[in-house]
Amino acid sequence: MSTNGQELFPILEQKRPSGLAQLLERQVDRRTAVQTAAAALTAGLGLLQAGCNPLAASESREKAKLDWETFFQGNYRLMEDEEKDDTVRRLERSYELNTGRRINVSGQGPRKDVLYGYAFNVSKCRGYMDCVKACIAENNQDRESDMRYIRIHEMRNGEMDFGKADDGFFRDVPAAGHFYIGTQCFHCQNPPCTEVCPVQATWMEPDGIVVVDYNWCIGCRYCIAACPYDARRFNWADPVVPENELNPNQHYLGNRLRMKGVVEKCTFCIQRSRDGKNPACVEACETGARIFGNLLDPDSEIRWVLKNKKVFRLKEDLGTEPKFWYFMD
Amino acid sequence: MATLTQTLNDQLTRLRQSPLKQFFLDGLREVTSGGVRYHVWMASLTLVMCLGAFAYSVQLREGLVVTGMHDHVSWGLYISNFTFLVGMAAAAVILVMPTYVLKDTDFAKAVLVGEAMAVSALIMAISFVVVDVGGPARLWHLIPGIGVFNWPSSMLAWDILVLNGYLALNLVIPFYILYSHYRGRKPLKKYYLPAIFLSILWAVSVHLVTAFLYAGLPARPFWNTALMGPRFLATAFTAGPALMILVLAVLRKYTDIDIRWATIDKLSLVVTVAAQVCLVMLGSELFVEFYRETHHGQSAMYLYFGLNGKNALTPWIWTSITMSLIATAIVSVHRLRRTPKWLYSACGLLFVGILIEKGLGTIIPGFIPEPWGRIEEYVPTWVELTVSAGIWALGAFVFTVLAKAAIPIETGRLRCVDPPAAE
Amino acid sequence: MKAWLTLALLAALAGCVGHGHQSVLREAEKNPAAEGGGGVSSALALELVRRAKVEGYQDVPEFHVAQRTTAMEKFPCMKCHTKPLAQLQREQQGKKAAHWEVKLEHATPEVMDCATCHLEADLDSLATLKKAKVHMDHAYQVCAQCHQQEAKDWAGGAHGKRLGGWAPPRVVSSCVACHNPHKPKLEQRLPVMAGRSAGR
Repeated sequence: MSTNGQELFPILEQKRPSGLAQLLERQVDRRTAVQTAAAALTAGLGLLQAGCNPLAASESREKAKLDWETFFQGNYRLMEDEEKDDTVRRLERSYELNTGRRINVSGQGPRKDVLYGYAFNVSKCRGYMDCVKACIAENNQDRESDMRYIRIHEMRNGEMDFGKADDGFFRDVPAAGHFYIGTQCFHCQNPPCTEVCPVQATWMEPDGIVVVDYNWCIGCRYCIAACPYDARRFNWADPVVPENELNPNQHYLGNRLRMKGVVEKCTFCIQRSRDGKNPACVEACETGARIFGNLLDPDSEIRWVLKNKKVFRLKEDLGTEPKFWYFMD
Repeated sequence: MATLTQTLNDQLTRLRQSPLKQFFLDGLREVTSGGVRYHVWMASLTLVMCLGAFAYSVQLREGLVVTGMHDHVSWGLYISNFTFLVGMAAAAVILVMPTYVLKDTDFAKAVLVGEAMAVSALIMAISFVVVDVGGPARLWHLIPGIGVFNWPSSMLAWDILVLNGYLALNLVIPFYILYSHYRGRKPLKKYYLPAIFLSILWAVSVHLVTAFLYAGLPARPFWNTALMGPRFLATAFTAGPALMILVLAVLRKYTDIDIRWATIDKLSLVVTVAAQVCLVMLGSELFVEFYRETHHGQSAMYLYFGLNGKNALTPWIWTSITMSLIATAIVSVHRLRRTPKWLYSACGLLFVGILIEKGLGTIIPGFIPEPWGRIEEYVPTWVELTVSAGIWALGAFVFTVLAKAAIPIETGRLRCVDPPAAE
Repeated sequence: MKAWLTLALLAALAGCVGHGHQSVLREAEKNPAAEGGGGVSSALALELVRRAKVEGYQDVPEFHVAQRTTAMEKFPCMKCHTKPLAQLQREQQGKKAAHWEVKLEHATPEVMDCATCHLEADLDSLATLKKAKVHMDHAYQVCAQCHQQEAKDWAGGAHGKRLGGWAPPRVVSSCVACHNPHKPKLEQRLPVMAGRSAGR
């Protein structure tokens, strides 16, 4: 599967006959039916506009067709590889039609023999907030509502009490007598959020990343209620990302642009991690407090930390099995 | 002109021949005719529904940002109303079981009113879920076959199942019974009794499943209690019959429905017992939350006394508790309970008190404080209030329509004109 | 009816069981990966990073440290230090010191001076406490003499910054990439953005 989006994709290359001809020529399966319906629906619109501006007409026809197909697309997890590929290409093409600019959307699947894990060194975090900033930029989060996946809690020495911590600090850090601890999605191995979803729009991938199919999410927010870690965010309005700040390197299950009314969350930067890179927060952290790697690799840093440091997880009593551990020097 | 008249006559003859069509046409005629008061009532409901629809169109355009909800209180007035209304629907069983199973004659006359209430409550409950979701256009993802229905894992899937099933039962059973009466026949037990038994089980399960929706979430300690389900049932069996008493009182006054005081009296006994059970359960819950205060009791702390100077819900919950206490005291005294004036005020107090408690006092504090202890309050916006009012008006509208059509059949005024001799 | 109930109960149970609750780490330990990177590698991201193989840590898998010398402005030192240090100091007496900006704020003067880490006999190199020669790229060996726990954590992966990505090969920054050896204490500063006191 091509992930670089450089080549033209099959949907566009096909010279499409009229909707009627398609109906006569093609065997109708589920996908074809949707495409046919789309063509038929847009034919009228196309004819109307063709008289004025043939080029614009064909573009708006294509746009309408893509919108139509997007509306009727299935659950991403249940798609065949070819269907997934079509879905991803459609996203790229829609964006290009709407803005005139290109993005690269990847559909990179999970890597074999990889299970991602994360460790956070409480002694090292100094509250610089580089991780939060990098996360927002990398993941195209809504700037309007100032959406954030990561929260850094400033705690007083002697109290490990989130209720008394301050996550709204802005002063010289680390403040005397305080320490810092970050929370985000812990990608639980036994996630309570995914099992409550009435439509299976969110699930755990084989490499342990808990993802959301934004197009399949109906926006009931049951997963938000079910998450004990405040990991999930909802798009209360249409998200806004300034064009010049957009990260064009995207993943279907990751940082691609979301729409209003759907839930999103940290994906361990799936668009980066599946290519061997570290999540943006790990890379941005100046102090090295954030460690990421493959739990199935006995030689990985994360496994060394789990073996050699005294680690703990938050709310471990809930049996969620977070793949996110904390430790201290 | 002559041909037109003839066509119309033909049409009428054809209709006469189909009792089913006649049933619906008679119902429609019944629903569209009435006194001035009736029309003013229906017009006002329509107006409120239109206002609600307008507010909902704003919400559709802008997104749920126009509500008071946010990432930390992600369910608000809509889901609160939904929760309450599921209880109202479940309460119909209070009339259904004695009537059909125990052969209680006092409830028999009111049972159709109870079922109409269940239907309208269910329609409201389902509407409240629909207006709460972020992508109503994507709701088809729930339909088994073309979508993915995450059953049995998701309690929401269970809830959708039981709500729609219960709605179907509450449409089918009264339809069969009404239609039989309409045609002057006795409804056959072998047809309706199995459905009645099913609906009794179903009524209990709708509210339990809705409680489990919340109680199954360890993430929200305030909800994560085994008492949630039983308490839901107790409040439902209080507020439901309380509303029923008020509705029956109104119907007695304004329609020719044959409801005797004995029916209301018996219902009031149900209200009394259930209200007392509610208080016992409230007491148990308060004891656990406050005897040893833990972090898990923070939501209760916030709800009853406020936390870190934030106490938006405190006045509401105390109002609700006061109302319930006063009302329970009233209905517990036989002499007062048997005085219509006192009984009706107590029922009003109980209904409003439980509406507040189920609405503001159950769902919202579950989210406060959020999982890491921050307290972000929730205040509904005008959009939420207007949409909610619209849905309540829709419920009242549906109830009125159902009752308006059903009452004349029950009183025997409306009967099939030309029942075919043999079928 | 009974059948229906049983069915519902079974369905409910099926919804609850099945995701048996095991420790994710124990499971991971039981299923070691054949190849740590799962088919990806950080080699490309590290293409421009010049590195040296880390020596002296037998109990951790092989890893590399980014070269220090390529990042140093005044290296090799022998470009200026053409004469023995004592002679240079004699000639420079009274003039502005060459390394005037370096003020040693590392331990106390009683414990450390320049010669604790720099090899006087060969200024291009560092020195162990016993004056054995250490290449600049292996500065961590000097640090590790005192900061043993940190060095152990660094070698294992609990301390310091990794370059490239999570996928092998493993290349890490040297101690001195973050800690100025002359003034290792990190200063306070403002965060790059404010936290959130309230929000949607």
